[in-house]
Amino acid sequence: MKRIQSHKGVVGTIVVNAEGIPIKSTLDNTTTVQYAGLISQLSDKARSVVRDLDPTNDLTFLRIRSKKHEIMVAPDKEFILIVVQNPVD
Amino acid sequence: MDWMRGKILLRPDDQLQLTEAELQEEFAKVLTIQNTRVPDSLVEWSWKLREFIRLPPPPHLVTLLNVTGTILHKDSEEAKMQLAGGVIEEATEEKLKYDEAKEEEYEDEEEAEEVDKTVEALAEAELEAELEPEEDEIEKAKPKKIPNQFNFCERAALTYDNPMRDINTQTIPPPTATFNASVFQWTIFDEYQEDYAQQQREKEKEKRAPLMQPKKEDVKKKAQIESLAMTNRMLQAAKTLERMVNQNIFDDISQDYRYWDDPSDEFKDGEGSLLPLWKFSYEKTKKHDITDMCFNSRYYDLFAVAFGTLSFNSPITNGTVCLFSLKNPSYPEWICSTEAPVMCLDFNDQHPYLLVIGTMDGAVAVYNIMLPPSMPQYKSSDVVQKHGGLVWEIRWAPDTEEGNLAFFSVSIDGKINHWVLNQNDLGLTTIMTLFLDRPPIPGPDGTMITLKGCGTCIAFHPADKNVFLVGTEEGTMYKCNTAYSSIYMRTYHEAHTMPVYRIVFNKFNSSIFASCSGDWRIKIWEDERPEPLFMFDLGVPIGDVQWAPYSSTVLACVSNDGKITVFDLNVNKYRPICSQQIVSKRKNKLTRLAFNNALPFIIVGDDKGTVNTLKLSPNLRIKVKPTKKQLHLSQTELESMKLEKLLSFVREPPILTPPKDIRTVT
Repeated sequence: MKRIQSHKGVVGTIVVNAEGIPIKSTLDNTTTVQYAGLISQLSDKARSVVRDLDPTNDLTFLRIRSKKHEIMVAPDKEFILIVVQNPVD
Repeated sequence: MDWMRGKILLRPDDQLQLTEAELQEEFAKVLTIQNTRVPDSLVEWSWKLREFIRLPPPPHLVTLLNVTGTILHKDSEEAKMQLAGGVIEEATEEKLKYDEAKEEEYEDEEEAEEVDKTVEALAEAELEAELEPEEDEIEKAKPKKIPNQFNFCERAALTYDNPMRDINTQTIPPPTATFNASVFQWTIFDEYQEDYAQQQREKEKEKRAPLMQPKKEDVKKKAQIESLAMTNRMLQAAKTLERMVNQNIFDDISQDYRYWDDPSDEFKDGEGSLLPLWKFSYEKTKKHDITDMCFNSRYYDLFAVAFGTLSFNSPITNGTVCLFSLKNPSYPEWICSTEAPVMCLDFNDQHPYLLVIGTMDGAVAVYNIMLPPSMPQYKSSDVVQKHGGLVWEIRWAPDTEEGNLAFFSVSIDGKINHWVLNQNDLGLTTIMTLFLDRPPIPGPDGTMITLKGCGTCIAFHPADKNVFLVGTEEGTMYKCNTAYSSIYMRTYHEAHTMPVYRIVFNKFNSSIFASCSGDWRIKIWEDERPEPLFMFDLGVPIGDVQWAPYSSTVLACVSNDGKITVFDLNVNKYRPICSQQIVSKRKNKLTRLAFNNALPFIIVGDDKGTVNTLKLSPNLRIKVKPTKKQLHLSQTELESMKLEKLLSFVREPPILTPPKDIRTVT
């Protein structure tokens, strides 16, 4: 985790547990809670979409590219790993 | 509508039609007090009197209905009798009486048997006494009094009615909760899967129900396994995210790596360039020299790097093996630190997870890279099985007849060892000791010592697995066979004047091989020919030379001045087609080089622990264009044909027949 955080352009990393509660974060409190809540909802929804298209399929990773950031999400049954990065150009 | 029409007279069809006169006619009728219908003079013939006698006039009474009644007149005879107690002569009554009589007879008999025994018997006797007069009555047919059937009373008794009572109690209401969920197709699918799994488990349980007894330890273990699995998944996810982050950071390099081809190559005839891509390094090995590099045969993006030292008075005493992946240029995938500097390594082709290393202290070890890098799977014993000096090169050998894996190592102590991976340990056989072809010299205690050559590199013949070439520090190269341990098949005396650093066989023609040395030269040899076919002098010590895997005529080398030099013999037999400075000339030296087998890039290692990745421009990887006649040939055949054609120009005239196989017996 530290290694990820030390990479260039990484704004923050968050670990969220299954209930959507952030366990570990390098961001400030409000942002963390906001990210955790929204991303866990989104990843649930995304998983639902993937699973609904093909029940044997599953979501493994999620990348959200925005104008300012790239949010990378690794959703699992028990946790969600979120990394926010400033894409460097 | 009939009711509207007023009165309509209905008359029968057959009514007489009377005339007006007839209708007017009057008929007079007279009523009398006598019945005119009654005959007034009825007579009857009397045979006794022999005359008619007059009958009395018939009565005026007509009987219409005759019903006998049951009412008696009070004063009548019958009534009087009834009141006095008349006899009923009905058959049923009599029958009843008869039965009673019979019963009493029975009782009589019983009495005779058990008379005067009990009080009950006495009572019965009394009863009998009472009944006896009845019997007499029947006999006398004494009129019985008929009850008045109109004079009776009905008696009814009402039992106590338990009063109804209502008792109510109220239980605590069960807890309720609102539950909302939407069902998706995958939810249903999951449920089915789970149900199926449950069924399977139950079946299995039934099969081995008596054996299984769940213990607390099992539960604990399960929890441990689960947490371990989760940690693993977490690590996996973190790894992928790290790769994603790296991909973002090195996005431009990744694009270049895959898609960028130097367009200026089209105008530079016969010259190419190298495009620097990522640089791999590991914080803890910045001061180490890269002593060897090897690509994995399974994953083209994975390569192993050995960190050791090439100068013998360096302060470095430890070594490291790192596996790098192109997907994560910032950190090694697998790090293994060793006690002694690592000098060489090799991946197994059939088992790409096996990595063998040789270290400076003469030890060898086999690692399984799927396991954590704490312990080697096999390690040579520090005392018994060991090289006398640093291991310069290590190569996997074909499996033994028993199917065990094996490898060869060449060391500075002049021995070539064959190691076999047994079940638990390494088996060691010294294949060959490189004795020098010189007279023995006297040792300090007077014994004569045969000098040994210091092996620096080894190369196995691609086709004949028994044949191999060894280069030594003295600059001599030996062609040997694993079957004959004391004989050199051929000795290349003075092949180089400095240590031979690398010998490599051509990938397409197994009789062609190249060697490089500290004497600034690269030489390309053909088997069975004592003189090299080509010789290039770069003016600096050459650390490594490699043939390209995609072309039979391309070879690349790295030199101490930080340059990579690429030759394509097909394009230019005298000059390199590319010579590029990669690292600064003063500070760094390039030590090793490796071609990737799948993609057109090379990795070069320097003496500062950095691996540079370089993409080959199109001119450096020209492939043979088949002519129309050659369309059916594969690329391999074309490449070997190309090399053959080239060699035919270089080979010395056929007058010089190749000399006989000189076998030097030592």
